[in-house]
Amino acid sequence: MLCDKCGKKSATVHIKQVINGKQTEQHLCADCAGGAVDVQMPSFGSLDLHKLFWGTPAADVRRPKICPGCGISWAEAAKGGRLGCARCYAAFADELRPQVAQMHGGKRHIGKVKMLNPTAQVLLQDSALANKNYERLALQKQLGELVDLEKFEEAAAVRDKIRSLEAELQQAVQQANAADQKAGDER
Amino acid sequence: MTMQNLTALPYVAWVEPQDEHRIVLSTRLRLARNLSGRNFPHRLNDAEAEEICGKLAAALPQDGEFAGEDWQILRLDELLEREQGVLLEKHLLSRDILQHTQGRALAVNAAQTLALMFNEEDHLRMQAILPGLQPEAAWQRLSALDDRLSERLDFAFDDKLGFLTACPTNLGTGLRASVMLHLPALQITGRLEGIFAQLPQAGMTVRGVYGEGSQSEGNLFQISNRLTLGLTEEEIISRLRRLTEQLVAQEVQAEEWLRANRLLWLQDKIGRACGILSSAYLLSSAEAMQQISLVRLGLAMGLCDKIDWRELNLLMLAVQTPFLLTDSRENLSAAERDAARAKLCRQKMCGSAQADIL
Repeated sequence: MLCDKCGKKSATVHIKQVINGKQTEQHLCADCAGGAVDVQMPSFGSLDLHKLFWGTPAADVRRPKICPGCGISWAEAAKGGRLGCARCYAAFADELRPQVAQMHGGKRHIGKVKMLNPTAQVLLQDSALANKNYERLALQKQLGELVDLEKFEEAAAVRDKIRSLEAELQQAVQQANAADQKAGDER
Repeated sequence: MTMQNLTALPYVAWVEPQDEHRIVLSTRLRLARNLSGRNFPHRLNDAEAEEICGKLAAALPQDGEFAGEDWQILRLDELLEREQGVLLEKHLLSRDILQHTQGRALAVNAAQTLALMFNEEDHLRMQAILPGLQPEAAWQRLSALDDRLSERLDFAFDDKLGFLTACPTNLGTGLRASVMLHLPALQITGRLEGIFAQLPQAGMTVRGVYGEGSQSEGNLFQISNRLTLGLTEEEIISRLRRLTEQLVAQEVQAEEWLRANRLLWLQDKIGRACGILSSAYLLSSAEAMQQISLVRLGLAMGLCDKIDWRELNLLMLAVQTPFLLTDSRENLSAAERDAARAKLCRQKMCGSAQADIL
């Protein structure tokens, strides 16, 4: 193969460049290669510490992800270190998962739960029951882990424990409700 | 309680002597909560923020366990700078909330043990502050308050992530449990840095007196939990208690080492500190805090009886600039502040009659 540039000597230097996905090839002789090789080094820019901390989501460069709740973009939220609203957690779940895991060790919430039903009132008044509720939450978390590890036998034992705790809690709630009703009737 | 007491007087519940070793000043527990379906405070305009303040204020419990709280609600944009400063020194307010005061408010109970910031980083930041090491008692109060509020407010919650917060570092329980410690003997014996270096392993971090990124003053340090997700509130609190008890034991040990090996040197330092506080005419804030710290150590070790324990706690607050400004009711130059601060120290250390003669 002759040199692309002078067309006289045989080409001994072969250069393949891929810049922004566009591939170019050059075949040069040793003489021409000395001056003509134009190797472009892309600039990496300065390091952004925020990006290092938050990670760089590759996907949203072209199509910015926007939270439907508050209209904040992931880039903006990541830059400020704060989300725009509670719905951001669902909107940016993929981006947040590794970060939350890094911050908190990948654990699940096992603390106080939001009061959703009348059971909570009873759980508040009786600390023994509240503890049982916490235990139930902790076991639920354990159950998830065991299933992930495919330890089905242990998982089944934990599931049974959860069921018995749930039954106990249910019963306590019913008793409390009945007592309330009775008190109401007497009045 | 009058507004005057809250934003002017150098008194707050945590000055009451509680800890027998005189090492733990206060326990502070904070919960972060947000209303679901609303933007977080930094994405609200002032009118929306106002509306949320109103909603939160209306939800404050007035009956049952909270019958006598006599909530005082302060709009931050209506406060003078020195009044904001006073609330900051009392740890009822954070610096962050002062960056933008419109649509921000603070609710405090009469005893100044419960403080709720509206529209800080989260819609609601509620804290319980008690003197000494009382994380369980503080949690009982705070959790009860949270329960009552959640009867009327719909807090943003996720099964896996727990309570949702503006910054993911507060997810889950939203609980930051902290203690304020006075650790002069560990500082003097040079063991503090080594101890603090181990805190992250225990899931704790150390902060300055006024929270994240602030400097330590007068050997006061704030220790708090780092993780908020994946632990129960009770676990966070019991870890804080265990760690605090360890630190107290180490501080006492350092005190005993000083007593056994450097007694005369220490007595001299404490004696000089008493001398400075009772006879100086100009005292900068940093110097006053440093000398008060030594007197405090003297009291803890029984090497000084020049001032009562509670009085010293009050003095620690009163020498802070915002209180000096409150007393004078006018702006003071730096030198005038130092003079006013020195006068206050002389009065407390010698009794007010003598201070005037001096």
